Amino acid sequence: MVSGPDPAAPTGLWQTAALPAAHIREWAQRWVVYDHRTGETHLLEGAAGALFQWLHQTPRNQRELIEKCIQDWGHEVEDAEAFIEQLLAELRRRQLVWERS
Amino acid sequence: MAVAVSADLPRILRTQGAPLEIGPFIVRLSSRLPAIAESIGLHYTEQLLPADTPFSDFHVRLDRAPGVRGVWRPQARFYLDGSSPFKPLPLSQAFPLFEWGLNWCIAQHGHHYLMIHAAVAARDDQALIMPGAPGAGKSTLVAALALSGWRLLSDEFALLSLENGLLTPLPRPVSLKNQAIPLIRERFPEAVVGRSAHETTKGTVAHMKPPSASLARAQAPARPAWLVFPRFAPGGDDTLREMPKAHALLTLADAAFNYSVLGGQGFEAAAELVDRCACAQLDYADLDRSLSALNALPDAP
Amino acid sequence: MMPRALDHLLTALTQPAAVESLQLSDWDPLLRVARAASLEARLHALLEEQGLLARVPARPRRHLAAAGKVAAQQHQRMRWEVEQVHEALGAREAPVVILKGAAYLMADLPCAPGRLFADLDIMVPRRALESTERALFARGWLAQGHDEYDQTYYRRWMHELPPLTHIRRKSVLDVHHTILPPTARLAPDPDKLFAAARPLKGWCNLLVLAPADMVLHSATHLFHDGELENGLRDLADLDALLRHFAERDSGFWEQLTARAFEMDLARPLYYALRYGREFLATPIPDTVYARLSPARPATPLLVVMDALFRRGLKPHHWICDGPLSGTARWCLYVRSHYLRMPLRLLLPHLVRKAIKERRAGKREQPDP
Repeated sequence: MVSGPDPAAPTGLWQTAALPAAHIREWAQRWVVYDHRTGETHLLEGAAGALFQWLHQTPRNQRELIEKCIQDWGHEVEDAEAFIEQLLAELRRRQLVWERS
Repeated sequence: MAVAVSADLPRILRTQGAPLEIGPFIVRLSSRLPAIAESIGLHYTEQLLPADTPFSDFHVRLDRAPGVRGVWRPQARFYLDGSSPFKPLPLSQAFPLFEWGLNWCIAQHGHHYLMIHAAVAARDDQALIMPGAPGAGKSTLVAALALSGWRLLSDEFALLSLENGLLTPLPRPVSLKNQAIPLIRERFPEAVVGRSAHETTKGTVAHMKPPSASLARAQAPARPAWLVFPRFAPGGDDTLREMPKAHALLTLADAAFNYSVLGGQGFEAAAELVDRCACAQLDYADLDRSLSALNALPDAP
Repeated sequence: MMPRALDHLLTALTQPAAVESLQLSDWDPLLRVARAASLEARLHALLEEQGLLARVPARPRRHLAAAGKVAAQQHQRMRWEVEQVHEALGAREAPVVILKGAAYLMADLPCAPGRLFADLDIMVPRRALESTERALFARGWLAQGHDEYDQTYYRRWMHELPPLTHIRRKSVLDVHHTILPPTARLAPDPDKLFAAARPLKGWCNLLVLAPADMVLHSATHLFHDGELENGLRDLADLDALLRHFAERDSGFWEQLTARAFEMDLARPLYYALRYGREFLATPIPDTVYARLSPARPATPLLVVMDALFRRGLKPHHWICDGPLSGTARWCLYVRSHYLRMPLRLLLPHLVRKAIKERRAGKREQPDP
């Protein structure tokens, strides 16, 4: 694992499943997301929800996500990297996001 | 346009079947069982329609289960349009079987609503929805509310319109279980409670007839105002605790019979409901204390 | 003799505009019969397509709409299942043919709207069967819930995988390598099916059967080895497929009959056309009948088959039942098994199934 965002690293774009805006609801930093493809309803709390929301607005690569994470949540670089990876892995496991290479 | 109940009821039940107007549904019930005639006569007289009603939503029959076993252990069977989806139950449980079977019919077919497993009562046409697992106390609470000036919409189903977000009443007998039966009888002597059926899968069960005022307004929808999730908690303090809306939505989705059938439409309706209602949890321990907590709910803006 | 309610249903399926003349009291038995035949949602789709729903009285319309929602949801789930199968198998070399209801849906055929279905059926070449099972296993599909007898039955006699259940979604996937079990009396060559299959637009390595083969498969399933629980529904599928393919390709009928003889499936096709015309007025040119005449059963047999199918194809609802309906269904059930495997395998199998069903009958839903 490299330390710090490496500008040369080839990173794919992360994007969310194409879900209508009406199926993403937020109350007090808790997001409820309905996936009509699978019929599943997901509760995404805090950072996981915020990350999903960013990605739903527009696809981003991992570096952008890490930068935003450092800016918005004040994480250290290395923490931010691991944190984003963990969040993305969880969202991918739920089939809500995928990486376009 | 209910017809006056007649001594004819057992004959109608035996022959062409009695159409009952139960909220938005018409159920044509036939049965040769005297216990069914007695319970229908007690609970459903106001809801009886003329026998020549042209269309019924459900064709239900309750009769003795066939077979030699019936000689020494008579049982009742529930038939929906000729097919029998459940195991038979002892004959003494024929009326609870009708009520449970009807729940199943509605849950299978009423997809023009988001159907939530919940008790519903209204004050000035503002509705309180109480989803809850069996044993959470929702039937007891809704019976007590209905006997204290609230309008009973339903004991089992919140029928949420997908078009306008209003709740359609489904006034049916409230199913009281075990200790709730003497509790309601003593606290509200005017309550009309039918015969108890013992040793059912839910213990002893008796049905309370909806108050006439609730039946008279069976076609008047109500606007959702409060979403309260009761849970039976001996030693609880019977206060309402605010519930995060996101959590309320997930719990609500779990409590809906047809959430998965309705897909996105169901999610949108549930999310709107949660958004519009005050959401709270109630640790229910004492009927009077819980009742005053619910009575004190502030009117929706 | 068709009961009135069935008559109304058949008319509504073939000429939807006729529903305008129905009374509220006609809708009551009509919907019950349609429901028993799994055709309530289909009727909803037809009326919706033609803008006729508003002509249906409010109460029956609500039931139709409710059935339409159930179907729409099944379609949504099915598309997702196909997508998941594609993810698991799409990148391999072996082709994957989507069969039956899912094929109608994915290929956007006119029998798809309002079509109810449960399982997804796919076909892969026999040589790829084992690797398919492994690839699916890796994605969460496993053979479960079948006792050893069932497992052996599938693998040994049917040369098929037992139905696979997805561990998380609980959806069921049937993997075939031909359209009839190898023990069956008819033996269409699967290689020919794969060779003629058409790619599914927008999907890599997913295919559907060629039009003639799709009709033959449906006919075979209904009139040769299938059980007739949804007989009328399956006949309605065939009717819609035949009308659709014949309209788009003037050479279709000729291809169909030629292919039927080539694949050894002319007899089931004969039945499909005969009863399609009888129940649903499927428009079939007389020349097609003439060409199929070698496949027509001898008159004494045809009399028997008429007696059986005319009863067995009606919806299984008491309104449609006559005194011999139960017997006819039982005969057809035994026939379907007889055609599927030799008698020495069939008898023990039927006995086992009968005993198991009795046991299952005792484990009905305990409580509403």
